Amino acid sequence: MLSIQDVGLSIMGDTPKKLYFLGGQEYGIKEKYIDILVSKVGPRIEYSGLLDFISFMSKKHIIPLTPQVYVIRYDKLFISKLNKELADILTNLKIEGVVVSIYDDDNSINKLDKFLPDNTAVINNVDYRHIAKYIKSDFPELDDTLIYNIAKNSVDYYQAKNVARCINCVKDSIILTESDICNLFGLTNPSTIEAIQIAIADRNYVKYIELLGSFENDLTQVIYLIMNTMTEFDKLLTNKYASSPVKNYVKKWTRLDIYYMFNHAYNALDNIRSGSTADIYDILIYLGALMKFQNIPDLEVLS
Amino acid sequence: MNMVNQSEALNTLTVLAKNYQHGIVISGTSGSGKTYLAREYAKLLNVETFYLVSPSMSDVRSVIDMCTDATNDIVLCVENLDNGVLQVAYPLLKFIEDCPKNLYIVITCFNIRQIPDTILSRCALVNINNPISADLDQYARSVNNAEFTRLKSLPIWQCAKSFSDVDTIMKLDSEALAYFDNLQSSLDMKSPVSSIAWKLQYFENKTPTPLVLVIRYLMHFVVSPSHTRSCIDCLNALATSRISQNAIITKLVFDLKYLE
Repeated sequence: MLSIQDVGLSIMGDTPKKLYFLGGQEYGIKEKYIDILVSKVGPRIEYSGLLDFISFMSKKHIIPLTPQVYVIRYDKLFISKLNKELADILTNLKIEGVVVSIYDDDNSINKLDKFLPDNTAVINNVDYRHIAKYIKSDFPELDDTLIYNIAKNSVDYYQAKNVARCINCVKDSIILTESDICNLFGLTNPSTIEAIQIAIADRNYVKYIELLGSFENDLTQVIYLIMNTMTEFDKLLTNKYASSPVKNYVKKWTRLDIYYMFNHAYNALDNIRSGSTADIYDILIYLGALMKFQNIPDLEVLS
Repeated sequence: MNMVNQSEALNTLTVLAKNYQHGIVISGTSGSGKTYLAREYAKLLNVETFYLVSPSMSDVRSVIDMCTDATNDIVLCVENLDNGVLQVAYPLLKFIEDCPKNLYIVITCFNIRQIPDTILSRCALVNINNPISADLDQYARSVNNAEFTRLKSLPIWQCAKSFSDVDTIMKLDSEALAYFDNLQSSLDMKSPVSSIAWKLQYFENKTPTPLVLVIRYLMHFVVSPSHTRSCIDCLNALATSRISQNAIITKLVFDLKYLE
């Protein structure tokens, strides 16, 4: 089976193969390769099936055929008939242009790999650095950092290209940070959440407040984060060899600090959910301020 | 079945049925038999068509549309209105205000204070008491007498407080019953809170435990008043469902582990 690099090099090179079978879930890359072939070979034509195509190409044509890119999608009939004989016919067929046959299921690709291994490739999970490279070639005017953020936060090339295309239309009027990109993709910026957790674990009030200001998702997540951090500390107190992102800060917390902080966070969440507290931001500042105490006070003492 | 806890409510419903009351609110704790009484009301009215609706906007709207076009008598039971969003009450209110003659609306709820006054003022109110142990025994016998005889002597049976608890206990398999038997010994307070919380929420095969029963069962073993209070707070929090179940259980385990 061909690797994605082999396919890329052959398509972008001077003499692409006559026949490609492309499997895998990365539809965007497949489309990109077809676009490259169209620019090199000739217009694109959608064909219904490979068996029809073989019979079409085998006939003599009064007017000579011009090179074209023939795209065939999910041709199950061909897979069911595929054997050594048919594979030989296809390999020796004189094709005017290039045929790209697309599949997305493993069974078809396994069979193709058995009979036509030099023409078959699976395109899945492309590294984000490659996606960034492709996006850069598609939209050369976009900023490199922006492209990097889009590629890093996208599911696949197809999604990344769509977002890049949209941003490219409005790029003159907006400046997008990684956090904005995460919002576009419906993701929470993981670096902010991790940083808030570290600030909580480190009892670093200033950093916590600073990060809170830039946190753009549901603020109740931060309360859950405090409760989660206290549970992590409890785990570390029980087993000092346990792995945890907050392991380095456990010495800053006593048993009672952990318990009282969890109680404060739980109580805050209860108040928010019951509607007795309206401003969640104030609650989060209050919870952050508790970290400044040498020993975190009991909930009942403060109430 | 003549349940002691339902007898008073049933008498009230009989009077209301004689007066063809179109709007009724039945309040009571979970598993006390509110929906059963709504069905009994339909029988008292001699109405065959009985619709049960969850308190979601889409369900309520579609049933109201359906009932508007209907010509036969219908009893519409909106289950546990206080579990749904407040907005559900508005289309219901409009419907109750101008109720078609062929339609009877029964609303059930846990807490009558959560029901808007505008609905309460247009409905007859019926309160249902918690079932007493004789009610639960009678219900269990009617479901499966042999199973009831087997389970009656087990400590888990003492944790049943409602008809739905009885249903849950009677469906427990031998593995689940063994879980309850070993619960006290398997809870090692030297383990991390997260691990104890997991044990309380899931059986070994990773299926969820009947959490309310587990907490009630746990209350048999706790001796300190502060631990008992934590268990009661936990049960209340689970009943109101304001906070995620995992957070509630983690809080309980923190209390059990850290409170002396």
